[in-house]
Amino acid sequence: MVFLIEYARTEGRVVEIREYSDDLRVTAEEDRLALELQRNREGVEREVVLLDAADRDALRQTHSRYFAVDEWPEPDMEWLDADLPAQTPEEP
Amino acid sequence: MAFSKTQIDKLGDRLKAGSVEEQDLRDLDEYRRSFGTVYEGVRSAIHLGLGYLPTGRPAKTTQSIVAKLRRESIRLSQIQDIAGCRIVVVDLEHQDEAVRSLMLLFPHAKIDDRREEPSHGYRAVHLIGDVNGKLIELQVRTVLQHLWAQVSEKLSDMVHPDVKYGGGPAAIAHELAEASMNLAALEYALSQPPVIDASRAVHEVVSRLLRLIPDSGKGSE
Repeated sequence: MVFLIEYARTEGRVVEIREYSDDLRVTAEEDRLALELQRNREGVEREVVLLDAADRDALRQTHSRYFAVDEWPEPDMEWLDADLPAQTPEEP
Repeated sequence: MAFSKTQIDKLGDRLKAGSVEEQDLRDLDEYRRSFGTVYEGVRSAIHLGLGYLPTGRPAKTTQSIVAKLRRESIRLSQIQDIAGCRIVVVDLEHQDEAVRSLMLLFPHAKIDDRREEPSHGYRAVHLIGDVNGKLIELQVRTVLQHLWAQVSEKLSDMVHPDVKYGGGPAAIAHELAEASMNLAALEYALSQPPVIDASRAVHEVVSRLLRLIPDSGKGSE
């Protein structure tokens, strides 16, 4: 999946997230530029970024910063109590 | 249209100066998109070849690029992380394993190991791969390194942009530095025999870290 995120940095909050299937990457890129240009014309300071992730949960895990803290996934700390690797590679 | 290095750096100069015209944003977008094919190839190779599922950022944001140009004596054409991927693993052992695997895939990549000498508390291993003349940054973090980095980023967004470079309010800088050192010590202790019960200590450091984030960062989107 491709995610287009509009982020209000100083407020630390996501304004909007749009999702695209991988085959619509070019559309996502064009939408990202259009949104950035629009915000620039409006004089509104926003971070407009594209991110790739398997799904929204994976996005929250690796780019938590864009989300409110109470939406952050619980850090995987089961390994503290047992030998449980969280991201052992799958068999290729 | 392919940009020359001179054109790229002149664009960087304009961005740095703050005189951003619409055409500059379009040119920057085109320059970033020129990394797309290499980026997709790298991400796919990491997934299909190594089995990791990296989260990718095909293009660094305009704000991050401008901030970097202003903060460092670097030209736009020299920025190494226009495109990048991130892998988060559980612990130091798996981090080493991931780095070794990535080096097999990208044997000429440069390793920037920030675990022994953190960058303003930031700990991770970065690899900079050169694929067909395009530099791609691969970040490998443990869960705890990643959590610290996300808190640091969030505080940089909401409190002061210098927080992640060791600046901003002194109390926050102190708390972040201390948390980074404590997490590093705990991670190291957990990686060595004998096995210790560090669960409570880790949770205490993490709770304290998360409490640094202002309330407005705790609402819903």
